[in-house]
Amino acid sequence: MGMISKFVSAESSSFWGKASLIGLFVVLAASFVLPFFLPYDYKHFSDLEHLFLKPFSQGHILGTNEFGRDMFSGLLYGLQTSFIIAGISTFFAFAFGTFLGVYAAYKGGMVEKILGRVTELQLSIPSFLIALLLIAFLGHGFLPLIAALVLGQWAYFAQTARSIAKAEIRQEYVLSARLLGLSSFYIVCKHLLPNALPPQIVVFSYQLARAIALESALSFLGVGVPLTEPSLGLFIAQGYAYFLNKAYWVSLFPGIMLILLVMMVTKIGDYLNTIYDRKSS
Amino acid sequence: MKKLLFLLSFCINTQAVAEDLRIGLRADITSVDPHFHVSGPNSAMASHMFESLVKQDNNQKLLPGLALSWEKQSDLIWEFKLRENVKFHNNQVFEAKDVVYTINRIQKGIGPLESYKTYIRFIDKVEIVNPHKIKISSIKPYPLLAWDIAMIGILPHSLGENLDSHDFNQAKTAVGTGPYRFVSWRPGQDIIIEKNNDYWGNKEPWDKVIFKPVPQDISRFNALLAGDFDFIETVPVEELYRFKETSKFKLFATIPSRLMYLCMDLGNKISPYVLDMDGKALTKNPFQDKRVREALSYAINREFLIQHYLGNHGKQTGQLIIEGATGFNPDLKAHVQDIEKAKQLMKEAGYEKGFQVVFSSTSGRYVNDAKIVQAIASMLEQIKIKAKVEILPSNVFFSRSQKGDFSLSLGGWPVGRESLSPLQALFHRFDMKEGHGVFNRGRYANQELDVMIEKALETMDDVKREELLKKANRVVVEDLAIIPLYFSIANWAGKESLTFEPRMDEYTIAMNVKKFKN
Amino acid sequence: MILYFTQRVILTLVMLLILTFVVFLGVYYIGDPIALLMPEQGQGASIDAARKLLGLDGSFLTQYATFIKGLFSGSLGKSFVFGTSCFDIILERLPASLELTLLALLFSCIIGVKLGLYAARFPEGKGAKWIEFYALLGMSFPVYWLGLMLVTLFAAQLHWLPSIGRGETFWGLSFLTIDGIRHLVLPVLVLMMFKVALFIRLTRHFAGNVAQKSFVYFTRARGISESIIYKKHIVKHLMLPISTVFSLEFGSLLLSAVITESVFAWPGLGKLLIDALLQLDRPMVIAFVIFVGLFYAIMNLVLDIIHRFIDPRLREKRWA
Repeated sequence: MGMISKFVSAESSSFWGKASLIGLFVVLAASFVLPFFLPYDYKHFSDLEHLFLKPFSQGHILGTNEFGRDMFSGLLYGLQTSFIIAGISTFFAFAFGTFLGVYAAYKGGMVEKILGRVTELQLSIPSFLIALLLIAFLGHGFLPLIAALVLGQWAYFAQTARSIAKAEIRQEYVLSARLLGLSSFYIVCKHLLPNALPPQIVVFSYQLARAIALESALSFLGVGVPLTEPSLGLFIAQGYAYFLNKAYWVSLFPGIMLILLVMMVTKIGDYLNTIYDRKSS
Repeated sequence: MKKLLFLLSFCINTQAVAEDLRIGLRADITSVDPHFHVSGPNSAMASHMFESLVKQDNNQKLLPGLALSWEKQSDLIWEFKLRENVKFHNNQVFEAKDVVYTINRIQKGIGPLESYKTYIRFIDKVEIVNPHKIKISSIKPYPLLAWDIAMIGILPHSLGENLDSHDFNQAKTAVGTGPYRFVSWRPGQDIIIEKNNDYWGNKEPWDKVIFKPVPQDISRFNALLAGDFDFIETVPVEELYRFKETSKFKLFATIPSRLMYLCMDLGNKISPYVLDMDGKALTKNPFQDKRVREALSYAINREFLIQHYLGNHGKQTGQLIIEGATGFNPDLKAHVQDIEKAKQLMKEAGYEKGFQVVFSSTSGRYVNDAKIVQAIASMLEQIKIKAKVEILPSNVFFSRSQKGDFSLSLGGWPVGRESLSPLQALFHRFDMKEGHGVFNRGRYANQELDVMIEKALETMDDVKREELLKKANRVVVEDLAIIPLYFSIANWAGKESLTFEPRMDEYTIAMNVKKFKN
Repeated sequence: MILYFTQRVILTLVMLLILTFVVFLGVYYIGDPIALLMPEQGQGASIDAARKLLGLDGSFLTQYATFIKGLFSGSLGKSFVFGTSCFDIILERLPASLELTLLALLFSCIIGVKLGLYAARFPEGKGAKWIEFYALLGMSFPVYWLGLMLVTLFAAQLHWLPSIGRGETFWGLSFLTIDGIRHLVLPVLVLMMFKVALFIRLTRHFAGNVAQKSFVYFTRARGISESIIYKKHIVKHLMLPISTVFSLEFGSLLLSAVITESVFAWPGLGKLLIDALLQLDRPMVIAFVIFVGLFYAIMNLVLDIIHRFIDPRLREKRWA
């Protein structure tokens, strides 16, 4: 079952992997740095006199939307949102899930059984659904969104962490540490966790891609980020109404950007996975 | 030869023989039972199969329905003469007993909230004079009795006691006197009704009508284009322009039917969500100063909102009701945007530096509400009011609005022919016990106004009541208890071969869909 | 074996009970359904009466107790919105969701595996490159966008296919009628986009893995043609992981088809849930969660049993 979480094409060409890695950093840097240098700031500048300007008109590289806000700046802010939300939630899912998985594997017995059940149950329920239900309970906003994403994803980390830890536990050094009377917490942190980390990085990349996609799907439905915040999913949703008629650019560029972003992050995951596979065999 | 005939049989379009109508709705009904729950979709659907004593025409004027006439015999008693020779779908003949049966049923309480009780709350008793004449007495003088009666669909007493709403899913229970009979309802999928050939009134042109709920506006619209529907309600605003370019489909719009307004916190000395430009709390509530309210009104370009966010389907307004409704004052016009004047007013009130406020709204409940609010926020920036737009899901929004927990919010109210109910619900001092001002979100309180409203509630004389309402409306508008923005206009679209008479209550009914004859 | 089952069943039931408590708690605090359900012209007094009617006036524990009592008498609660048993409503919608999910998954599996095997066999060719590209693209494309665009193109513009709803049914299944099939095409295509990519990647990974196992080398050395190797040995070994994924994805797809269902107005479970959430139909949401929990728990249990029978290696290991 642990293998299921690594869907990889066994022949990842490393060129695309490396290219995606570089590409991701470029996009990341651009999205946080560029807005400062742009003439029109999506967040602070709305101009009702200039609705729906076409791309490349009056200094708006990607045109303006229905409130006269600059879409290039908006795209960058949307990317920021994707990075921040997906990044934070995946990180916490990673921290939370890995620790739980390793700890349960170490403790064994009832604790591990319960965790195993919960993890399996959670894994079979689509994360999108979990996120949706949680947001219905917690309300709308950034915090519930992140919480929902974390809760929808931790199980993946817990599962891989647990299987790695189980393998490690049989090793001699763990046995000796126990005999020496070292506290379980210490053993877990000093020995088990570090060994569990490398495969987790692969999971992290895949989960990051999923989190980005999840956030945009939830925002598309209107239950993700607040409606007035920039988000790629939200742009796609709001812009679709104008897609065929006049303003294709409001929806199209965010959509393309989203696809590229998820593809890049997934490709990085593939690349890391190939490296890990090669290392372990 | 056999093969040929077999193939040919596929080519014969059996659809061509029957005249069916396929309608796309925005929302599904929640029950076929006409007394289950008060909601637009339910009431609209019910009117196909069940009829009331009194009907409302497209402009909400009262018309004879199952009652030929209704007259005030005294301040408390109304006499209804009932129509003869009307048969229910189960062949039972309509008579006075059915009215008593229906009202008793509602009295017992139906549905999750027993919401239909609100329409019989002023009825004391129903007395049968003869099988075609009844007297309804009210607990106190109530001028709007006939309006309430118009909302109640009459059921045949032969249905008996112990009817569960769920029973109405079967055709033998969903029995009324209407121009259509109920066939089936698959929740979330479709509702099918068929022509009632024994109807007492004008025969319908459609053999079968099939309604399908498609909540996503764009999906419903695509379905019309794809030919899956002949007729739909509510075209998305962004697609409205298409109807100018095509002749394959037609657009139908009603007279304005929903008032949209800005609601401000008028009850608190210090408004909870208002801050000065540096983020510190203010010592007083800016909205309590009439000049600030005026400034807000003059900062908004209503025409612009209607043009760009409503697809030109709106009508700006300076008061609560439309022309032709009781209490209308022709001289109260909508404010035209005047930024200079607005700035001046802000300066006089001492808010030249402006202030920050949280501007709350729903999303998707009213036409383009989220966008309208953002556009208004943009406009307010010009007079240095920094409005932070807060979009809330409907349930949260209405919970808070009931408690009056907003500083600035967007509001909507269905418009009717008479202004007494909006005045009473929105502007009377908030008093839950008496049921006054239940929707007075801003907690506006004006004693003079309260007196006028309470008097109007008991004035049976139509002319005197109109005078009172005119005065009351003027007070509300001149005091800027709310800032009226515009009326949104409901729309429908259909194939070019159809024509539709829009209704002010926005009901989508097949009876108003007819074949278009050149 | 029996001990193992009982353990799992008990554990699952306990968890479900805890789940209901948590869900009830959450739904209790979301917001006031009364505010949403009341007609705009409702009067003050009737709001309180309404609360009593819906049983919303008791404390949280009272309400929960009532609910648990109801559970034991076999009911999952009465929907606020529809006024009838939630369970009945869920059952009504089940066939529609099942149909969509099974068809989409079946086609995705067949096409995905075929493409994946092809790419594994000829990894250097152009075909493999395109297949891999699609695998990546398919997993990254926003489903909702695809749905909207397909509908606009094929239904609204070209008029080739219907845009919404489920077609005519025969014995409750719409793929048995031509009209039904026409209605199924677009939603199934939308669901397939992602899943085909998934199966391609999965197949590539496992085919690659198996191909490296020693017994394949030996079989090759015996001179058996590549195609037979693929057909007989590799495919057989794919069965286990593919079937696992198939059943997992089935459960997942059943509900995550939410967006597709709302774009196509497909009368399935996903749409039911979203509507219930939006309308604050608490009993429905709770009934739904229980149904989902039960469904997945049962599915996991069945899966586990099947695996133990299929793979003799698992039989020996003690659980833990």
